[in-house]
Amino acid sequence: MASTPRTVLLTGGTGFLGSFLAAGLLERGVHVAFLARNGQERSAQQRVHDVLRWHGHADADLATGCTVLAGDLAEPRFGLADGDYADVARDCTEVWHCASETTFSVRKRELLERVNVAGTEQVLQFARDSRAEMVNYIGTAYSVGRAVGECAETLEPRTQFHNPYEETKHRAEMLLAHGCEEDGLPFLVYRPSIIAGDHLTGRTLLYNGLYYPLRMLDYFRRQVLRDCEEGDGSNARALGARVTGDGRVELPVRLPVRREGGTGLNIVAVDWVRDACLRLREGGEPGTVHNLVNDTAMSLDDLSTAIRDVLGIDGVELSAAADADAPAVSPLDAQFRSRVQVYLPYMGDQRVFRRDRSRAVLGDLLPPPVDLGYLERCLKVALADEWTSPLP
Amino acid sequence: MNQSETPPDTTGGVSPPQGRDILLEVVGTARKCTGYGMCHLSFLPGGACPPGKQHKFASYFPQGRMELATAVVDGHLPVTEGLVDIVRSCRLCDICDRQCYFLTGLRPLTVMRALSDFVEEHLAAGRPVLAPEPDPLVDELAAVVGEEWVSADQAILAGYARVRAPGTPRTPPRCVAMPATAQQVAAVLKVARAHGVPVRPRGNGTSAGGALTDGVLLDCSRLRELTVDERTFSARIGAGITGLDLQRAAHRHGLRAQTAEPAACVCANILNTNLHSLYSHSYGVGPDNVIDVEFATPDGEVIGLDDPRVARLLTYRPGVTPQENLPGVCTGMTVKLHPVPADEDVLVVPFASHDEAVAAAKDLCARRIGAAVGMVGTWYAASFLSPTHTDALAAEKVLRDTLGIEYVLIVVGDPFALDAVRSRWDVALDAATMRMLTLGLPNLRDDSALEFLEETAGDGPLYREVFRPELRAVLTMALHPSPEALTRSVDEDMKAFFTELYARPEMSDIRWLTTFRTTSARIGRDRAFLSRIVWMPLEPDLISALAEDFSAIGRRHGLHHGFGYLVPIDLGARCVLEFDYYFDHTDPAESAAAVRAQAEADVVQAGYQARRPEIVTGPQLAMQGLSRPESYLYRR
Repeated sequence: MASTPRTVLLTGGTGFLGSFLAAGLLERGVHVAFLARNGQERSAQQRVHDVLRWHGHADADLATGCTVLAGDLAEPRFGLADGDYADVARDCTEVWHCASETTFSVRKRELLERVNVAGTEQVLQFARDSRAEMVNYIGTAYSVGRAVGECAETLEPRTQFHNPYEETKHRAEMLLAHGCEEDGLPFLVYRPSIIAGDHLTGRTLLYNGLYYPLRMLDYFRRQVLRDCEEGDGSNARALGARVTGDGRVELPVRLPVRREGGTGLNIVAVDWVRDACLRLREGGEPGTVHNLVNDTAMSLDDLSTAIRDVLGIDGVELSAAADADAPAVSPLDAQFRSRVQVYLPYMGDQRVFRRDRSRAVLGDLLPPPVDLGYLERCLKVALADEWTSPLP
Repeated sequence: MNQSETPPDTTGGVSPPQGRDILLEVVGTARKCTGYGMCHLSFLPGGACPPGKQHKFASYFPQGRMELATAVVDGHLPVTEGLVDIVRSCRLCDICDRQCYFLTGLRPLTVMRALSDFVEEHLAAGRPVLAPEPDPLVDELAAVVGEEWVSADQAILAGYARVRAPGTPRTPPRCVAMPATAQQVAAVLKVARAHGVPVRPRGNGTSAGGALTDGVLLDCSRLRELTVDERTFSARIGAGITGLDLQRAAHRHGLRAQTAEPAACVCANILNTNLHSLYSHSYGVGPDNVIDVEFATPDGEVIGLDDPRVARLLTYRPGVTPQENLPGVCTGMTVKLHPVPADEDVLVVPFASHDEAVAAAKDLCARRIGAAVGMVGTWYAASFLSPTHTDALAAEKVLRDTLGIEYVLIVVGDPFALDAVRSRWDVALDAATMRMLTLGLPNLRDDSALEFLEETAGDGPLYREVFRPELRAVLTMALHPSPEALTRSVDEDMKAFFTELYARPEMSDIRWLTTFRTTSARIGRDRAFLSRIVWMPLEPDLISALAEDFSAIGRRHGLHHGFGYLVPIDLGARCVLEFDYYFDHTDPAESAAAVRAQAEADVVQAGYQARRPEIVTGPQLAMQGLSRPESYLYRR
C-alpha cells in the first residue's frame, strides 16, 4: 500500500470530477496544489475557491489546505514562473491528472489536442521533474474507440474512434503510460464511463456530454411553450410539436437507444467515481488500468418515465438504435436526430466494459444503480440550475 | 480682423463657478462628438433640430452646440451675442438625444442644458456679452446674402473651427457666409477676392479633412435646390443637398440616386471623394452619374460643363492643387437617377473566407448581376444592425466567433439576379431572414441553440448549419425576434422610442438600409475612425496583402482597425476598398498614434503603388472627384 502523499498536484480541479477528487483529497488531509487557469472574469484562485465552496468547504479550510497555481496545462512548465514550478515540483509527491476537454465536437479538434494530448505531455514532464511517487490519470472508458464486444482493463493501441475526444484521450493515455514505464514512474489509469450527478443529490457542475440530449428536449419544450403562449404557435406546428397541458408539451421525437443486446448508456455517479479512484489509489497495483463503469444499464423505461414526469414532455419514444435510419416521425424529430448523431455510439453502445480488476480492489464499493429515483434527482437539479453550471 | 488663438477673458476676470462647473461635468460628452453631421438631418421620427433647420449655421445644430461647450471650457469662446442667441434657441426637445444616441450612444441633451445654465448664470451676474468687431468684409458680404446670413460672431465661427482629422489645429474663420443662389456665391467670391481673403466652401463638414480657413467660410447649406425630372431620370441639386435629401426625393418618384453617406452633401461628396457606394457595381462612381455641374467663379460668373474650365475637371490631373484646378465653388449639379424594379429585393451571403468573398464580388460584378454588390466586414455588419455599442460587440462575437462569418456580401437585385445568387451559394439570407436576425440577434447570443449546434455540427463554419432551411422554425424560436428583443440593452428612458422605431419595417430592411445608409455612422460609435479608401485591381491576393499590411500597422500602434468594405466596379476588374483605423479622438496619445499609423500606411501604400501604378488613393482624388474613372484608373 502506498504511503499517504504530502502534496498532490491536481489538474482539472475546477472541473466536475476534478473538484470531487479535490474535495475528497482535502477531506483526507492531503495538501492539494491546484493547477488552474485564470478565467476571463475570475482568477484561478477565485475559480478554485468557488468550486470548493460549492463542495461545502469553508474559506478557512481553503487558506491552509491548498495552493493555487495560475497556469496553463498545455504550456511548457505549465506557463509558471521558474521558481513556482520548481517549488511545486519539489513538494509534490503525487500527481492527479484530471484536466480534460470533453467536447465531442469535431470542430474543436485543435482544443482537444491541446488540452488532452499536449496537456498530458506537460503533466508527464512534470512527473519526471518532481518527486512524484505515483501518477494518476483520469481517462475514459471510451478511449477504446470503435471496439465491439468486451473491452478489458488493458493498455492496447487503438486506431478507430467515434470522435476526436475518444482519440485524444486514448493517445494521452498511451503516451502517459509509456512515458511512465520508460522512466520507472508508477502510474494508475482510471477509465470512467459517462459521469453524471451525485447519486444522493443529483448535483453536478456540468451539463454537457450526454446531458445534451435531455437539455435539448427541455429546450424544445420551453421554446414550444413560448411559441404557443406568446406567438401563434406556427413554429411549433411546423416542427410537429404542440402544447398538451399546463407546462406540458408533446414532442414527437425518437431517441435511438439500444434495447436488445449491448449495454446502452453506461452511467456512473460522480461521487462513486471519486470514492473508487481514491480506494484504487490505495489498493491498485501500479501500472494497471481500471474501468469505472456501471454493472447495470440504465432502464429505458425509467428514462422514459423521467422525461415524461420530470421534464413534462410527452411523445418521446425510445427506439432501437437500428431505427436511427428510419424516416423521421416529425420535422422536430429530423432536427433532433441530426443533433444527437454524435451521441449515438454511447446510446446504442456495443462496447461491454469489463471491470474485473477494479472490482477486485473496490470490493463492496459498488456503483449505485441508475434507477428512476436517481434520474429524477439529476433532472430536477438540472431544471433548478437551468442546465447551467451553478458556479459564478 | 483675425481671430486670436489666445483664450480670451470670458467674464472680465471672475468666472461664474457654478455654471462653469456644470459645463466641466458635461464637456467629456461634448468632446466625444465626432462631427459626423447626422444631426443636421431628419433621419428619425421627430425630425431634426428645429433651431438648426431655421438658422442653418452649424453652431445651431447639436454638433455645433457640442463644439461650443468645448470651446467655452477650453477658453476659446467668450460669451457673445451669438452664443446667447444659440443657447436660447434650444428648446431642450430631446430630438438630439434620440438622434445621437441612435448612432453614437451619446446623450447631448445634458450638454445643451449645461450650456443654457452657464449662459443664464453669466447673464444674471451682469457679465459682459461680446459683439463682433466691425468688419468691412462682413458688411459687403451682408449686402450680398443678407445680414441674417453672414456672421463674424465667435460663437458662429466656433462651429466651423475644427475638423475630425487628428492633429489639425483649430482654425476659426474670419466670418461665415451662407448664400442662397449660385449668383450670390459668385458675388461672395468676388467680394472676398477684392479683399484678398481666401474662401473655403463647406457642405456638411462630414469629411475627415473638413473645410478650414481663416478667411471666409462659405456654408453651402442654403443651396437647397432639389428638382426631380422623371422624364429624363435626373435631378437638379444645389450644393447644400445631402445624400439623404436626394435619396428620399428620388424614392418618392420610384427612383434611386447614387449617394454615399447620408449626411454628406452630394456635390461635395462627389468633388472630394469621387463618391462610391454598393450601387457602384451598376451605377458607377460619382462622375458616372453627373450630367452637368455648376460653378460660381470669383469673376462673378456661373458656369457649367460646357465651359472648358469645368469640362477639364472630368480629366484627372495628378499633382494639380484645388486652387489651380477648380474654377470656383461648385454650386450644384444635375445627376442621374435610376429606375428601381418593383420586385427588387436583397440577399445577404455570408462568407468565412476573405478570398471567397472577394471572388464572389468580382464574379457578380463581371456578370452584371444585381444592382448593388458590396462585401462588408463583420464589424460593419454588427455595427449597422445593433442599437448599442455593447450589442455590436456581442453581435460581432456571435457572427464571427460562433457562426464563423467573416464577411457578408450584400446583393440588391431583381428576382432574376437573386435567383442567380441562390444558385451559386447555398447559404443566402433573404430579407425576411435578415429581419429576423436583426430583431432577434440579442436573443440568439444568449440562446442554447447555438451551443447545441456548436457541439453537434460537423466541420465547417457554423452558419452553414444554422441557416439551413430545415432549421428555420428552430432558428425563429431561438431568435424570438421583436423590437423589444433588439432594444433590451437600450437606455431605459429610450426604450419606448426605440421599440416603436424598430417596429417600422424599414429599420430592419437591409435593402432600405443599404440605400439610405442611416446607420452607417455607427461604425464610429465607440471611436472616431480614419478611412483609407483605395481604388485597386480586384485581385484577392493583392487586397489581402494590403489589408494585412494595414492591419500590422494598426497592431503596432495599438489601434483598433479593420476591413470596412469592398465594392466592385468596372465589371469586376477593379474595386474600391475601405480600411479603417479607430481612435479615441479625445485621447492625445491615441490621436497621435492614429496620425503615425496613417503616415506609415501612406508609405506602405506608396510601395504598392510603385509596383502597381493603377492603384489610386483617396487623397489623390481629393477635389478631383469629378474625374472620369477612365482618366485615373487606366493611367499607364
